Amino acid sequence: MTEQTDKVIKKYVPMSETAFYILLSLFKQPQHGYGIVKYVEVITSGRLTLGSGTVYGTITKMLKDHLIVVYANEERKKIYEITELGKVVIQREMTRLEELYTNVIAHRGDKK
Amino acid sequence: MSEKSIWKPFWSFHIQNTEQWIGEMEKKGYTLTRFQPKLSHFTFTEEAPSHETFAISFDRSRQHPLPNALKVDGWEVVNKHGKWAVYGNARQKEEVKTSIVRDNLEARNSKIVTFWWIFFIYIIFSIALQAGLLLPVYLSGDSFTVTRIESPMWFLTYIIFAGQFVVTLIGIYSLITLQRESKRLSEEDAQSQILVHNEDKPTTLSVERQNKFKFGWMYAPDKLERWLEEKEQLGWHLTHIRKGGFKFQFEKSDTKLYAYSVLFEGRADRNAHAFHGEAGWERVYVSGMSWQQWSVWRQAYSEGKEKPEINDDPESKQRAAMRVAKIHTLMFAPIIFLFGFNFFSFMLPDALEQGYFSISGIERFNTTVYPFIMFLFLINILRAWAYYFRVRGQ
Repeated sequence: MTEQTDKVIKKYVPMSETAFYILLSLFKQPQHGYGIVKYVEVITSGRLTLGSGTVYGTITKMLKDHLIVVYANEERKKIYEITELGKVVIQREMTRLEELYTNVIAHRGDKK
Repeated sequence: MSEKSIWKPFWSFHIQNTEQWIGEMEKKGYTLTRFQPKLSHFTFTEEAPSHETFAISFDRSRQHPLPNALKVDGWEVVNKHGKWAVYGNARQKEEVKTSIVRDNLEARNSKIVTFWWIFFIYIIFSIALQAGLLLPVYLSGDSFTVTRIESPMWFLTYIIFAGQFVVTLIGIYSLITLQRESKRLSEEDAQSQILVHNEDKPTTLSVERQNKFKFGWMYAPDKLERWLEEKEQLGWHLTHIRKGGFKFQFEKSDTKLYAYSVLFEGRADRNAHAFHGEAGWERVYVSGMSWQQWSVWRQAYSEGKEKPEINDDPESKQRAAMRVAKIHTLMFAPIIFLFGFNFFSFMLPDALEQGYFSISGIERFNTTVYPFIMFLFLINILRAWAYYFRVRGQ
């Protein structure tokens, strides 16, 4: 693993809920900005509606750190796509969350 | 194999033309083999053409990534050099579905524009200063003679003058060309802009109207948001904010819950605005300048639901507030400093030494007005910081 990758992982893991859900939606498929907001709303059953300013700010930061890239589709709409580096980062975060989850289940079981 | 080297100055100010031109060269059987963006040099070699469509990208990070979707659509990076890269596609322009995004290029162009503005403001300032020094001598009526001393060094003066002249011409040319380029680039993706514009409803006389003035809300945008939200709850619906952002027009209507958000951006960002529009925000006001742009947004919501916010996490809220505090400090601190220097090292000692009533009228005026203006600017800076700390303390 290169030094650059390590630096980015250190910066993003652990990440905020907003950043996690944005990267997670892009991990599934490339999407446009509002598509991300809608997707997150659906998979959190409406609990989380991300503010457009927050999403835009986070996306800009992720573009700068090369976690994602942008292109324009046929309608010249901006579509965001996760990069290999972005995939490494989200995988790391998911592993961390898995550990979190297993521990939650284990300790909840103890108390019952 | 023959080579053709072409110098194309200011090619980056006409990006679409340049892309088309590379495509035409290709059609004539010349392939771009070397690209020196800084020198504006393009070298073509006679060989079988491999690409039909071209796009030039600017990337400050020098990475020039190729998204998968672009790769699938036939794009590849043909040639890259530092911050610039030429992307090529073997298909015809009409068949290519995807395209590169030009945000970085637009940011770069607007930086160049800012640079030239600062340059010209400085030039005007220094000409005014010199005129201020020489005009009194000229106007005083005293006769004076100007003697030109022969010296071989005069040619230096002429050369510098010629240089200055050329630089000024380049500056004027850049400003005009980039103005047009920015229009071309914004038209290019005009299709994707779905901004809801606030249209004024036709005036019906039966509707009760109200005008209110509000000044200085730029130092406390959160208070403006709250004020507008309260107005809506009292049944006064905002219909229009007049140019300049001081006059607010309301009309009596049913009470409805609205969330207001005031945004400040260092550089106008069309894409961000289109994004907010898509997310259901209505832009009710935007200031005219393309840098230091203020905009006011609103969205209706129903009772029992959470109030929507454009920036809904503490981090981006603080970042936005910090921008406001910073820009006002940067703008006003030098003025306070200049005024303060004048006041404390010249005016105040004079006034104290000679007595306030024995100095001349204009001096008396200055001695009174200077501290007042300094105080006013200081208050503005403090208000902007108070706003920042309010946001941080939330």
